[in-house]
Amino acid sequence: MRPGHDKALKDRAPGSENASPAQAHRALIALAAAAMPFFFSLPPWVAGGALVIMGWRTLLLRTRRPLPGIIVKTILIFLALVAVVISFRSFGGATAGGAFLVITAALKSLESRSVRDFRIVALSCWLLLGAAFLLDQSLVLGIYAVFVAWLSVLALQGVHETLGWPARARITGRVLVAALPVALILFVMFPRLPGPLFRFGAPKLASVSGLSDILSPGSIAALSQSNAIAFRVKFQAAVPKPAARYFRGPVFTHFNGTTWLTNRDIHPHLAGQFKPSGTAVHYRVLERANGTRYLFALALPVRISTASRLTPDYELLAPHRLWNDIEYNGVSFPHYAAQVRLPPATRAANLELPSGADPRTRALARKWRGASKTPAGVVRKALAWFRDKPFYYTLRPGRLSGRNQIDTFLFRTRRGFCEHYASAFAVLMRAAGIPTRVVTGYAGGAINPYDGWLVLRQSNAHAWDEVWLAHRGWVRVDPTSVIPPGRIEASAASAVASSPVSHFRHLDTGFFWHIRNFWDAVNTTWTEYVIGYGHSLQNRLFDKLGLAGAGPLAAALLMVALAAMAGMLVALFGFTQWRTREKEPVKRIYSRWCRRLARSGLERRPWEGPVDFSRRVARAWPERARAADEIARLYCAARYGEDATATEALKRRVRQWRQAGPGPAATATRRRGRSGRGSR
Amino acid sequence: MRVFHFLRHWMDRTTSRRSVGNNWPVAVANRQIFILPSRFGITGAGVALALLLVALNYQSSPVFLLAFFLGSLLQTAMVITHQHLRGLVISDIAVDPVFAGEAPCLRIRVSNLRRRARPGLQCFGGEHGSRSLTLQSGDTDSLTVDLPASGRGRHQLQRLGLACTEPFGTFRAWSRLQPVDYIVYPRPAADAPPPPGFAGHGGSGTKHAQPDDFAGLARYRPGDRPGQIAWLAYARSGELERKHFAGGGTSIHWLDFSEVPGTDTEKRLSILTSWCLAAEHSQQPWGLRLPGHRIAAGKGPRHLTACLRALALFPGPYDGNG
Repeated sequence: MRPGHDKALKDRAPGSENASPAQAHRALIALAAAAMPFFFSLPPWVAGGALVIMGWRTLLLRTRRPLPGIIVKTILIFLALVAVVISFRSFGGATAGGAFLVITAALKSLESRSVRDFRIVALSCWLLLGAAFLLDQSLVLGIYAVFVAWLSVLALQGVHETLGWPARARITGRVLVAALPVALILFVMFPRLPGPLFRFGAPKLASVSGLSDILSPGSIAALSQSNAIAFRVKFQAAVPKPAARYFRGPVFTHFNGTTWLTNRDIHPHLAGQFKPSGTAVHYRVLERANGTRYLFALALPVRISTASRLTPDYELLAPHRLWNDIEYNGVSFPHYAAQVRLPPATRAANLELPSGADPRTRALARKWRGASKTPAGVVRKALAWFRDKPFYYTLRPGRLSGRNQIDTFLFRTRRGFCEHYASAFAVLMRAAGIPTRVVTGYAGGAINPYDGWLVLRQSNAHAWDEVWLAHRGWVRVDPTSVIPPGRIEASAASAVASSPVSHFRHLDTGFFWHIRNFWDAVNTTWTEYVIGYGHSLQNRLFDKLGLAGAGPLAAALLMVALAAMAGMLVALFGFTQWRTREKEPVKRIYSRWCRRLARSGLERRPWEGPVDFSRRVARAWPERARAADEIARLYCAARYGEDATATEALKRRVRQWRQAGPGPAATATRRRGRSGRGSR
Repeated sequence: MRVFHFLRHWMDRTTSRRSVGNNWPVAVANRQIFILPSRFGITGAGVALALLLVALNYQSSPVFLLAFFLGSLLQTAMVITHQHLRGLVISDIAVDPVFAGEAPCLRIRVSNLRRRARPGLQCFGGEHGSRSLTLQSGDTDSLTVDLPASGRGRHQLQRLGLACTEPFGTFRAWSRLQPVDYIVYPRPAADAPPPPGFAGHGGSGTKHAQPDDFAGLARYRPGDRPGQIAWLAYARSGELERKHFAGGGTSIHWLDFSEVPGTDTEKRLSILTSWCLAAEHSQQPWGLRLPGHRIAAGKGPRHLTACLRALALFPGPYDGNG
């Protein structure tokens, strides 16, 4: 008995042997890397807890201590469930599901022992990446995902232990590159549907922020501090002047003294009507997921390429909330006459004020109304008043509290952000009998010199007013824009730098400005062509490829065919031992002869010398025995001897062999060879 | 379960029909390689499918990309696993003969003639799998697998093959090899009586000299072992002379089946086996007589092997080299 073989005697399923510490470490590293993005998109306890569990497993691995038993594992999984339910108040959806997935994957590593266990841990990295992409679709995560995928594939490899790190990393890279063509073909060709398939568990994007349906003092100021991109616009012709770049979002009609509310969308069949004038502006919008239904078209749109509706308040709404980035084309008219005939109900709603509040404001408005001939005169008076009185534009206006907040702002604090000015102005106008409403949206924006896209960030969020004037309809008035630059505080300066309210412009063209613009341009491409690759973009691509008429079935068949083709090409070029062209002419001539013989059933074995091979050829093919012998002799002479003419002679001989044709002997040889092999 | 049994049986038959020939050295050809996803491979496909469903539900492009990438990766792994077996050169398959009760060890000698390493080569035979072997480019090594211990005689290993699940364990590629014959000798009897006719044991017709009694020098003949040469004498005289021992190489001992006590054939074969081993140990020429078969006297490992083979195959038929 050989005691060394005892272990091998046990029957084992493949992969059930214990994983080597190196493999376990690789799987744990990959999983830790896959858990990292959740630090940014979920409460930190999720990724933190997962890392602690993985650290525990690593410690057990290092100290060779036994893994925790079933009781500990049950308690841990129960704790994880409770924590997820408490933290997210639900168990479905991308956030809670993602959190549970992260914790479960970490717990799986805690009970992993065998090669297959750790391979499953490495495989779970892909699920984590999927969950991470539901919460964040940024390019940074996209690049990071490639790194995690590489780590995961590295961890999937089992017994490459004899290979060093660089060799293993190289093999992994090669496998990833080889897998790329098929993946890309499937990505481009796989039929995309216009809407979600099952629509369950709409993800709550942790990183999304957008304009809300409620406007209270401070809500836009909070948004303004974020530098995140809200949307990008590419104009077909010249970019409109900053003063014309207003992108409307929620419109507020109802005011309760502190907070503005939008009109509830109670007439979904009604559409906003207006009379456009002047020239049309054509553009394309890439809007980031923001969890709202608002589409930010330039005021006011006449045509939008995605499903949408213009409400009577001229809000542009998508059919459902935007959980993914979206791209659409639009046509707008910056000049228009909207609701020249104001319906009495709308008029009444836009004159409504909470009774008894803000007596000083009302008194001031009544005074102005008496002194002016037209409503337009009142507007001018109010703007002049904002300009002349010591009003400051600041992100930190201090809290307004109690009743009569508008009075407090207009006569005491006089420090506010755009929502304070828009709100106070609307109250003044309504008190003077002019129908007025507050509009929020984005204004201004900066042009990226690298790709020409107009970029609107959350810091471009803005609030302004619309007053209704006879014969003109709704007219935009931006009370913030009259505050002179000297009264804009530094904290708000960056927020207004790229907005139309600013009277000075940061001409910041330093190194970081260029880097940021370049990065934004790359991001735009990522958002437009990768994130935004959906039904409409796919249709456009198919049109360009001349597949417009093809149905989804034909497209799917084409996808399968292309993917199979790419897969075969990868197999051929990537992993087959490709015949390399011989450099030496002698070897080239000889290998040509060998290939010829291989085709007639006589293959030269890798270990067979030329003389032995020729002898075998002679046996199988007696009528050519002499020629085969001659070729072996000439080959040896040409390669190893001094004879300079041998190469030429060899070439001649091989050509003569070819001209003699395969002959009946070739088939006979093949038959003989096969039957001979079978009888053994 | 019956379906699985049927499928397994069917697959066994189909794959064995395309087994690698044993006209060694032979390279594993494309048509001899079979490949199927492993349990882990099916898990991987499930993960890719789950990602695809998530992508469809949320219309998320990056998740689509992930799903397709994982799927494509699995497909690439299939190609690689296949390539690990393809063109592998088998230069020998042998089972070292053993005595009954011991586990025979099967060795497959394999060479990797291609540029890339072949990791995780395994061999399966009987119900057991071997440990895996990584063959670097240009290397030759042996895959070994222990076969179950069995009784005396000629055995055939029906289900024998090479397998590989690397690089990711998602697929298992395998090739069947042709059945291998091997011989198991009878187990030497532990309580065997001393063989008749040997020195010191009161047998018939032999001198009672110990084999290592020095009896003088004789002329060196080509073929004498170097250990027998009297090197001291050579140093003195310059002539090669051989030490001559009493009792060495003069008489022939016959081990006869009919002389073995007892009636149980297996028991008697066991005793004969241990006699053979003892006879070989004595370094005197000896022969073996079995009913209907006779092995001429001789000595040395080849002779011993021939005799043990004959005992293993008793009552025949004996093959030519016995």
